Parts: sequence; structure tokens; C-alpha cells
Amino acid sequence: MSDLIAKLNSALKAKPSEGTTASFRHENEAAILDAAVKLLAKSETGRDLLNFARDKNISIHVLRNKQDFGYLPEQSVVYISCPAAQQMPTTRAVIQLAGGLRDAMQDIEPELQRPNVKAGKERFVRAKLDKAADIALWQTAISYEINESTGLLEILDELFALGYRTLYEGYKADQEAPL
Amino acid sequence: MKNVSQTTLELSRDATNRHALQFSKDYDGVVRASGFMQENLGHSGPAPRMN
Repeated sequence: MSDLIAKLNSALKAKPSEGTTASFRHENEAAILDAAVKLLAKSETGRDLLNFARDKNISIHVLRNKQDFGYLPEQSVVYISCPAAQQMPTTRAVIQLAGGLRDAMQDIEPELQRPNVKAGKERFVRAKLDKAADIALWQTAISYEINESTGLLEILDELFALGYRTLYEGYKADQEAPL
Repeated sequence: MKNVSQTTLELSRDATNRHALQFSKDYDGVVRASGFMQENLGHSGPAPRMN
């Protein structure tokens, strides 16, 4: 929450011509995104997300922040994050980008709408957990597909660092099970 | 996305349940911010939404 408030404060201090995310964009944004998009496109599910973003005119930014990703619906912006002056491993960027793009795509799925606090705490938390589980599944599927198509093991290391090893093993077993 | 079993869907929930406390705190924060706006600005503003 404090991060959210910090972001909002920063946005309010930005000049109108800068846009609300300009003041905290990462200095290596172009290179990070170029590499991440190319790797994401190695996955069929990742291509679905990229096509969705293109069709909906969604912009993608890299913010100078702790590890975080998401979608700003009012601005049609997906963001991923990396601390200032740090290199972002492409595999980490891809997993965050998959999460942010899926967050945006959830907006068109009735069962995964953004929660409103007026619904009450229990329903708010349940809706957030449903959305997080769906994002984790998509990140896992994309990591699986990238590993299958490129042999890149580092993407699995990044995925497992998020605590998704068991989920990956379950997803992999599903894909390899006889029909 | 292809061939996702019910077991794997449950694994995805297990993998993300640890965020419940943070989401609960997010809710409290949004409610507090909404109350602040109501008290200080005379209205609650747009319905708060979380990313």
C-alpha cells in the first residue's frame, strides 16, 4: 500500500506533459522490453498476450521500483519493475510481463473482474486471490512453453524463485499426460 | 492455454494463498483512504479499485 501511495504521489508531482508514469520509468526500459517481448513471443500463450496488447493499444513500461507488475486500466498501461541502475534478467522481465499482460486481459473475463471494496473484505480478498492464482498459472504455462521451445533453464529458476515449482510440475504433468 | 487439470488449478490457488494477508491489508488501506477522502473532501471519490 505504501508503494501505491508513493507511486500516486510521484504521479501527481509529474508535469502533465510527462504522463503519470514518466517520472519513474526505468533508464533501460527500451532494452529490457525489447528482449522480454522477443522471448515472450517464443511461447504460444505469450503470443496470445502480445496480440491482445496490440489489439487493445496497451502500452508497456518498466518502472524504477521493487519487483512488481500490473495493469493500470485508466491509462491502458502494463508495467513491470526493476530497481534503478540495476540490470533486469530477461527471464524475470518475461515472467513479470506475462503477469502484467494477463492482469490486463482479465478485465475482459467476467469471473476475474477487479474487486471493489464495497463488496466487503472477504469478497475483495477472494477476488484478489482468484486473480493472483490465474496469473500464476499463466506465468507457469508461459515459462513451460519457453523452456520447451528454447531449452532455456533460467526461466524455470526464476519461476521456482517465485514459489511455483509444484505448480510447474503439475502443469508439466498435464501437458505430458496422454490424451 | 491447454490441458489444465483441476489438480493444477488447485495448485495455482495453493501457490498464491500466501498473498491473502497482503490483500487483506490492501483492503484496509483502500478503506482508510476512502474514509479520509470522505472526511476531508466531502465525498468518497470514485470507487477505489486495486490492480
